Amino acid sequence: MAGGLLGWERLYARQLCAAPAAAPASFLGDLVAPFLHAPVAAGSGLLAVLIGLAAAYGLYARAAQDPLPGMLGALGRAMRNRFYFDELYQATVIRGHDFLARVADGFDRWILAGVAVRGTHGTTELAGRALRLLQTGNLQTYALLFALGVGLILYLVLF
Amino acid sequence: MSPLTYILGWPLGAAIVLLLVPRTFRPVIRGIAILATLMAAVLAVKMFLRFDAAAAGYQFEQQVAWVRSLGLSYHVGVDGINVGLVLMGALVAFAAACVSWEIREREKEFYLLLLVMTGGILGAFAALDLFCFYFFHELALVPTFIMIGVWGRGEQKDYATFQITLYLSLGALLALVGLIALYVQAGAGTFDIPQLAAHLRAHPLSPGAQGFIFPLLLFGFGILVSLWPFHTWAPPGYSAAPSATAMLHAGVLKKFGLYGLIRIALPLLPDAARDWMPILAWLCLGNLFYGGWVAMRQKDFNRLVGYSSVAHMGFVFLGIAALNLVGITGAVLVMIAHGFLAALTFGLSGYLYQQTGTLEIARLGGLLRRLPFIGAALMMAAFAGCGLPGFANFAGEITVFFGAWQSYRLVTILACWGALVIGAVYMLRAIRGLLHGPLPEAWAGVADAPHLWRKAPFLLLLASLLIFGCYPRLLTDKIKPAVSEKVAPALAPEIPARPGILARPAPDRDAPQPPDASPAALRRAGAFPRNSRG
Amino acid sequence: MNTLLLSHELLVLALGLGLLLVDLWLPLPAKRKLGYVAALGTGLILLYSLVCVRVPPEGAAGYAFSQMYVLDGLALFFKRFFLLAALLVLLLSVEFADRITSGLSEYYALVLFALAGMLFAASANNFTLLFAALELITITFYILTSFQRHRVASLEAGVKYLVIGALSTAFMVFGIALVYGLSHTLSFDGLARAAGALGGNRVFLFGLVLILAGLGFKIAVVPFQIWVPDVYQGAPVPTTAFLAIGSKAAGFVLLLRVLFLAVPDITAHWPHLLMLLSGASILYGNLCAIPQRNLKRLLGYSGIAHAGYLLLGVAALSAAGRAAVLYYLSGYLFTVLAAFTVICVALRQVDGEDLGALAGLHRRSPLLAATMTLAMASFAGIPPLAGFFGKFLLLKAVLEQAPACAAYYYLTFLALAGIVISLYYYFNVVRVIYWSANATDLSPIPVSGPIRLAIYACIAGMLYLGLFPGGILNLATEAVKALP
Repeated sequence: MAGGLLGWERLYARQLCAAPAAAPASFLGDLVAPFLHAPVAAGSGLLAVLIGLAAAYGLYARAAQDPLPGMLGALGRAMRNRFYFDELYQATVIRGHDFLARVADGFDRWILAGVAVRGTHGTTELAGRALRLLQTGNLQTYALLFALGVGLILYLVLF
Repeated sequence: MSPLTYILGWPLGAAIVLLLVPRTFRPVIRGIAILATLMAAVLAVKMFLRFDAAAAGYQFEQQVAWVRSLGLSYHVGVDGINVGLVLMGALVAFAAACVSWEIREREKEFYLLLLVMTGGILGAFAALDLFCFYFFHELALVPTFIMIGVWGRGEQKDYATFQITLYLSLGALLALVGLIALYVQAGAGTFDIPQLAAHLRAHPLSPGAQGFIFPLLLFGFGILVSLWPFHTWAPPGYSAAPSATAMLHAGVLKKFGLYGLIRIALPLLPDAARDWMPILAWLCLGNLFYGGWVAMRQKDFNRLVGYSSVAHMGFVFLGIAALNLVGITGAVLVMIAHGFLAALTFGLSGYLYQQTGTLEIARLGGLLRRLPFIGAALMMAAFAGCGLPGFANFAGEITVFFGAWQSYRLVTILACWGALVIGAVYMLRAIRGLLHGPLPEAWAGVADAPHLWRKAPFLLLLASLLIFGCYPRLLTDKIKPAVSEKVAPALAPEIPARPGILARPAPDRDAPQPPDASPAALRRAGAFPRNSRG
Repeated sequence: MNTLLLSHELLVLALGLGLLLVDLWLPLPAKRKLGYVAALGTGLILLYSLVCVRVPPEGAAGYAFSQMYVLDGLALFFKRFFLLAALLVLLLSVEFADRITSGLSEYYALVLFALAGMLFAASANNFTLLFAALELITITFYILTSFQRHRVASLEAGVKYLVIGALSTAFMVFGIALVYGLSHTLSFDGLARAAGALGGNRVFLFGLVLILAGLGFKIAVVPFQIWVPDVYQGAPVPTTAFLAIGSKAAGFVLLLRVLFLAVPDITAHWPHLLMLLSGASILYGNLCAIPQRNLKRLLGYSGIAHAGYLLLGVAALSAAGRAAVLYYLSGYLFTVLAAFTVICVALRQVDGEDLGALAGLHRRSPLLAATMTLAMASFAGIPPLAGFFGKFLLLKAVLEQAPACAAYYYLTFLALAGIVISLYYYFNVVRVIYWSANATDLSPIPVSGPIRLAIYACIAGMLYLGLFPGGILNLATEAVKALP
């Protein structure tokens, strides 16, 4: 409230939009400006404040303990339990998200990190080990492979 | 000599000096590293403040011909897009050097690698030449490998370091092929980005060539930024890395790919960009939702933060996919904000690890009592990650949402859910598990950051988040004109701003109505020749 | 005939023969220093080449032996290349000298004779000189490979190299005979004129492929690479080093001349064959290197892969591709010699060059550890080292041709896959050096002065070619202008 009275929004408006709003004439003009600009909204706000003050005075001015829950009954109980909103939230959104999180985590652990990444790594390593077996160490095999290689190139070039 | 050359020269020069210092002079080694990164940070701040937002083109430029026959040159310069990134990189590097008190063995090699990595990162953000861009980024590859391997944590560190190195090399090589193909197809005989941009504006590439090169760049850079589904390298890598490496990598190095997309892929290949952005928009949901859901299941705090950084990249991708001024400005803002955030979070978790030896959330708890400063900073970091107003992340995320709303309604709605709800769930659960609740016996003796020097890096990063969160115009005033000038070929026509509600004069009913610039109307008018979904 | 054209070869031969002569009068302990004399002599010849011998302008190359021998820009580039390689190998041989039980000065002299063969090969303009130079190189290497007669591995390597080498020579001679029979000329220039008409002749192509088989043996590409791992592993370290760089480069200069000078029209129809050979070599070399634990064997397989990368430049069929081949070979020179120097020095005590013996190297000798790391990074193609710019030039050359023929794109992606695979085993070496848990021996390793010099030269070379590529790139581009 103090900030509103001091005109805080004019300071911050420079951050939000390029051209600052036109400044009103006086402090009083500043106070009355919201009522002139949007009478319904500002008037309802003022009315809410006045009603609230009156109700609070009427209920609590001379009460030893809070009379409202008794007056409201079932509605009061629901309000005390925060309209069971947390339980609703827990049952639907949180449980749903936990389930989806489990699915996503499983997918990430097994499919993406498992099959895709480790699979590629393992396949490449296996291919490397397999190809290495070509080097039997046997000279005759080497000579044969060399001649076969030449034959392959000849086949590719000539036919 | 441009200040940019000094900014990346101080760390690299200090690395060479460190070669000569004997390994036993520990305070000297630490001092040189901190001094070098401090100089870079101070110069970056000075440059940021002296930057003229209204000027077109690039500022603080320097160009030195490198290989004339190929059109390669050492060309550095800043415009609105990368001035904030250079600033963020320099500040994070300084914080990383300060945070490395925990390194007690082989400091010389550690700081040498850290300085090379810093120089590489800052050079990559400042580079205005395709070859330089790639060259500086790859400088960080070997230091990352060795740092995670030697000073890393956990039994998985060998696998993590090989995975991160090979996976990122694959992405970088794909991008390199894309860059070389771009150079070849453009036919301008130069790797210089401003010259290429001017040349391609006059003679755009054929749709076929663009359609081939753009996916290479998109997925090459995307792998570097942990685009879903190419993200599995990030969480194990970051959880195994020492704090300084994780701060630099997750905070700064990751942004390289996004910067490449904004600087190179979008302006030079605008037609292909329009085709591929819908796919990117849906993939970014993968980042946001999938990253968030898997983060919810993590038991280790570092892996959780790793997945959260994967999720945050979804925002930037969404902003880029929006292909409008607001969206891309928001994307750059999120990049800068997330850089500070990731650095802060990994720095703090590094402190926790150093004190307790573990980061399993189940085994920790109630630490806020013993660590008031670190705990408070961690809470602020968590809230920043959730998008609390007042922190820079909020400014960026909201801008991205406004921008993406114009292009992709459904994706934006889903993204909001993913960002705000899922992000809050895992972050707040983690904070509750770490900081609140009963304090186990084992951690009764942990100590908070003792003096200002130990708190300094965290204070610096928090201050940056708060400053840019409360006054995002410091950044957007610079980013907006640069984006509208440089990324213009790819941008959708801008929807003119309506008068704000705080303006006094009522709108003049007799004035001519602004042209209907909604996407539907534009499509009818034929602005998007191809089907754009979303 | 202008004898001055043959100055390099004559000087090297004189040095070699002089070494053998001096050896007769030298007492045993002093024989080791003879290697330094040889190295110094080679260095002086290199200096002479750089200062006194001018690159002849285009079209004004010097010819000798009735056009069999040519001294053009390409020849001069490779002559200086071989001289530098031999210089570093000789320094390495002195380091290795205590592991050679007998015939030390013959070893040095044989290195110089192999060098002479390579110098001739750089200038070959005729099949006769090609054959003679190749045989000089190969036969000298037979002896150099099996030099350590007390080690069975060395003898085995020598026999394998001998038999497979003889087989490849047989194929090559048969091919030369067929080509001569059809074209009536052995000179490359003459063949260029005659080959136009013979392009469709099956027998001519048959002969040409057999010649390429012989050259493929030297450069170790698939399918002629089967000898590489065993020979690289068994031979003494300086021999392997010289094989890895000198023999390979000699094969490449001859390949470039045959393909682009002698039969350019036929080569223009063969991009797919060259792409196939290149891709197969890259894949085979990189995959087989993954499980390797022996360092020399690992470098052998990686050499096959690098021959594949070099063939990328050949397959591009453009001047840029050929310049890239020369540039990449220059970077490869420094990289491979750095790696072998570290192997020679660091694994002195160990018999068999197991990877595990490098454990703890960062503590024992930071210089050697850093050198090996830089060498591995350069092999892998990481900035700011020579290997990166070389790979960049090769990829650029291929991608420049790609719009014309889509198969080049597949080749590029295959090369990318190969590079990523190679990162695994190169970085594995770095891992063992810096954080292997099995470091048993942690005593410091002394590095002698000349070896230190060699190491600094190699590091400087790798960094220079990676950071300031303009100079050597211009030299390479000028050199390949000799090929039309």
